[in-house]
Amino acid sequence: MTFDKHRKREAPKPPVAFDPVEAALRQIFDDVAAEEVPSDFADLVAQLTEKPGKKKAK
Amino acid sequence: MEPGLDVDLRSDDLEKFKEQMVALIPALRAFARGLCRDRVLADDLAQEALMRAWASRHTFTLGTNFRAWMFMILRNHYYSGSKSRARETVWDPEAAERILIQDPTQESGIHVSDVERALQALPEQQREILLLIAGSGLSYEEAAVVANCNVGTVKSRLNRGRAALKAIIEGEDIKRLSSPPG
Repeated sequence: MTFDKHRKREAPKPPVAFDPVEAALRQIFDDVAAEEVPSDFADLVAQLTEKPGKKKAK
Repeated sequence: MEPGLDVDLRSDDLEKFKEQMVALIPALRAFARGLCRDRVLADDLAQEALMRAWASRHTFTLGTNFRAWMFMILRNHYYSGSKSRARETVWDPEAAERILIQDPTQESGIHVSDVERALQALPEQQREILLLIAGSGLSYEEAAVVANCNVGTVKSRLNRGRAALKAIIEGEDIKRLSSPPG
């Protein structure tokens, strides 16, 4: 799976000057987003997107 | 709805939907962590959002804002189901460990840990708007979709949240300076 850790922020940003508190908020968010995603997410996506009736190969 | 059940999306659209969903997982985890403040619960919340999004994929209009749609699903599930459990959770020790070793912001002297603690003291409506806009980079309009309110309300909550955060942090600084050494 490819995750979007370094996704470019496409949405227009609110017009505010640099604010250390907001920078900290972004860091809090980005730190979690940069974590390695647990493998059970990949398992879940595979399970969800599995075609109906498809059998796993032995 | 059964996994893999064919709905209105064509197979290439379905593949695109899946790619977008997978790409958004880190941001979903971060938003969920900010909402419920617990690593395990947050990942459960993010996974539940993925399942719900997949089950509702036929309701998503291709070309519209996928990120806002996913965040809205996660947020609605948080408020409808896991809110009571989330309130009982405590500070994530791994997160605490991580933020305690961070240096203060050089110019301002503000610690990320101070901001994280202050964030947790805010009303949920203000916290979620700060997470969506300052954290995730959503626009006012996108945040309004996610939080199911109008843009004016988003701006109001954002301003009040910012002011409250700063007041809490400054209050902590005053306490820190006025407390006796040792």
